[in-house]
Amino acid sequence: MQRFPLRPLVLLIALAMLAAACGSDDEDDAGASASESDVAAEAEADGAEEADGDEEAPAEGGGEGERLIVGVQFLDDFVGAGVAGFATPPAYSSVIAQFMFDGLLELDPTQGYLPVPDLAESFEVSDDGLVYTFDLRDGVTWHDGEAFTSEDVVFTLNAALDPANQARTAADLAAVSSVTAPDDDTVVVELSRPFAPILQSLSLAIHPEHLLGPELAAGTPPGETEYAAAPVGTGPYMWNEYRPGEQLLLDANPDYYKGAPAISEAVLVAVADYDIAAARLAAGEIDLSEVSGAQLGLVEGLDGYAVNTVRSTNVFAIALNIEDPLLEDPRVRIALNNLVDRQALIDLLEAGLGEPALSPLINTSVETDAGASLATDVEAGTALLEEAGWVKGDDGAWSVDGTPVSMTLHDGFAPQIAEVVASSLRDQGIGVEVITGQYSDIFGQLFADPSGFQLFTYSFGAPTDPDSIYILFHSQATLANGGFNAFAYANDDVDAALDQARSVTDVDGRAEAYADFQEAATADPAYILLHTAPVHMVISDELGGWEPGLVEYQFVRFLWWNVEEWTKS
Amino acid sequence: MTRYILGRIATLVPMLLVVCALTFALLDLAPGDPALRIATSLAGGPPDLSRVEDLRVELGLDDPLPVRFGRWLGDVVQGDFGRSAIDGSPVTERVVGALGPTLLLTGSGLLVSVLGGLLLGTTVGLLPDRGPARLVRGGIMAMTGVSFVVPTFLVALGGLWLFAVILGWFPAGGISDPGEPRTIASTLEHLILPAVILGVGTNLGVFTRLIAAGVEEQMDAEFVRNARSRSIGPRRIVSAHVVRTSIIPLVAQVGSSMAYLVGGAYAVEVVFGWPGLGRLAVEAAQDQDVTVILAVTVISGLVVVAGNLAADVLLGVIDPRVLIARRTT
Repeated sequence: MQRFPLRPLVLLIALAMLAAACGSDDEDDAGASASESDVAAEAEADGAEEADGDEEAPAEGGGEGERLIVGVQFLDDFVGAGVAGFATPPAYSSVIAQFMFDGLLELDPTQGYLPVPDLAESFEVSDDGLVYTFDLRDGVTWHDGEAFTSEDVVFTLNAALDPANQARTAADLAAVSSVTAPDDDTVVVELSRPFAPILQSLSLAIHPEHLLGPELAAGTPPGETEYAAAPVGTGPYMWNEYRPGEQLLLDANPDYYKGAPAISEAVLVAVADYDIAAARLAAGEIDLSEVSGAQLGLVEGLDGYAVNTVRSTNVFAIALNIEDPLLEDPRVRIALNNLVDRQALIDLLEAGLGEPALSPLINTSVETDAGASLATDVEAGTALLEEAGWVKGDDGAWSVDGTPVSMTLHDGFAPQIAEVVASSLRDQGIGVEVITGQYSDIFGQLFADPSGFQLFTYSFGAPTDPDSIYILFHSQATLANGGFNAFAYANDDVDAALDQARSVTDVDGRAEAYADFQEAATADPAYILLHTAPVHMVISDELGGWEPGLVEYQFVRFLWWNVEEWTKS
Repeated sequence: MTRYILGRIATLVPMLLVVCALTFALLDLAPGDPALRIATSLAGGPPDLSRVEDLRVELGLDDPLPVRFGRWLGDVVQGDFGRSAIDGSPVTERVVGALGPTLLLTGSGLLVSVLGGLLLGTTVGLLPDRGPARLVRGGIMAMTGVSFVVPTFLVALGGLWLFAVILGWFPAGGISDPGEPRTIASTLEHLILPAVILGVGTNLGVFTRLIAAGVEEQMDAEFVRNARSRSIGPRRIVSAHVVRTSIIPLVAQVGSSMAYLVGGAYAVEVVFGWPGLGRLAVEAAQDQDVTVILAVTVISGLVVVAGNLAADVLLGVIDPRVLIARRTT
């Protein structure tokens, strides 16, 4: 027998550790190869900070050396989307885009998400609404020190429009016919048809031509470029280091055109889910994270933090297959809106903090009260169903032409919502069977052939421009045409109002058009509108300068919009 | 010895192949059309249906299952796990990047359960089963029983709240402090709690019981009585004879517990934000990223098989009878 039987075991473990260490070395190497430019940028940043110190009084509030630590879900996905260049959705939609990039315009959440100048200092729209001329801001530089010019804007918009890059922003820019730069400070965007929402689409992140341009020209897909491994923007924070699955380190941009951020470093930390986020908040490791209603009990009253609960424009809804014999009659669709128990959804799923949604444009600047007749009202709903020829049996169950009513409700992302809706309709005597599945499978089936569906859980709303609901209601926005109008809903008044809202460019004219839309869409519902879920941000008491009460949308967070002004004490 | 190792490898390779084939076939059985799924996620909305057909041809999805499996296997043997079905990024890089942290956590967790098992098992085995000592025995057995009863995921969540949040003894997540450089010291600081939880949550109970039973048995064995009669001190008897003999079944058990250990590591990784394969697997499952799921499964299979092999080899080293037995059968 060997003398030291434990030794091989220890050796084995030591080997495993060594392998592990080598593994992380590789990672570091990969990071390093892509971050040579960082080192230069960092050195420059240091130099610039010193220079700033010479010229100006030191930042107030002790911003120097402070670090903002934010818990982020889906960090890897955000980094992927943020750096893949033209897969980048409009600048507002990703936390990374908001920290690192600017658009021609930005959406001001304190002014109803009005597009306001960002990299463009001002802009003009021609009378026919077809030519947008942007005068660019002078003296803006990229994080690597190069000057920002109109070439970068032309490059970014054209790259987003290039089908080879498969940009998710391409559809938003479909109305653009040409992008040109008469000189270094001017960009002209021409449209093939008047399209008011284009201003929102032009808030997409602008990328540097001098870094990304050559790589794309060489045929490298955006996500695989060297640029993507260490992107360079013009925004308040700049790329320092990415540790996949763990954290993204950003440094303040001392040359940010709105002024250097007060907090000198920002770290986005990956949190797997809201429970983990709550634990890391409770341990005091992060300054800020979102949680859901389920974690409120854990984080309310947490020492050093406050919960900032805000409204959302995101509506949960049930799409109705209007071609199904049971759902053809608009009275039935109104009645379903009347019979669904919205309060149950809010109480059971949102800790009592959601709002019933009666308009697809809830919490936007153009919301009207046209949807009042869709409110939960069992009596009204019952009367409407009877009017439509439904018969209520002695046992309370509805039947049509002697057949008991039974419908399917397909769900690909919100099984709890589907169950609560189904049970509230069953309580009213309408048979509903819930069929759940993976998001991409259920939606894949819907996209391939919607005819087999009756009820379908949906989620939509207007993040910024109310035109977002066009793809859900317009008769031209069918799935085949790239829209989300799954069941070929078609209403002439709805179409007319939505078209009008696209072609007029003044704020009041558009509001009027959306008022018409809400009236027409209420009389002929395409959806059972359910509720909106509030957004809960847990924020350290040490942080100042953020705007409370902003309305949020789905995964978009506007809270970051003025991050350069935030302070940490 | 070399022949023995080669023999073991020869049996493990087909086992890995079976794992790969089964995983491939199972994922193929998953409902839904992969081309439609990929097109849907690429488009972020309604896919262009003509693009779905293109994708089907491009990815060779119409080929029979064995052909597709053969093609995939050919790439994997060359170290290419293909591209993510969701965002088109190369998968090999991501999996390799996540392997290091997983090996570190798994190795440390194993160390905790082996050393803990030896210590606690010997204690239990040496204590008499009567009087106040019985309470200590019972206490240890109950404590280590946690790993039998409570899912590792819950042990991890409980441990996280108790030791990181309430007591504040350890960091609550990640492998380095936010914004701070990665150093050996900070890695260790972040490693201790998840490694202990992994060790306790998976195999500590089994190992403790195994050692305890072995020690109890050996203390009555003839060679121990002989040793006693030669007036060798009890400490030396235990360390040189009893524990060393009891280690043999422990090493055998380590080999067969590898799968459980790696599975437990994945649960711990998710809870502690440890940037390893488990976290990658969970993300991939959420996105239905089949290429990543396949890659993680194969790499996990490799880790388990390599652990098995190492345990087998070790067993051969400690106990030459194993070599002879294996050779003759």
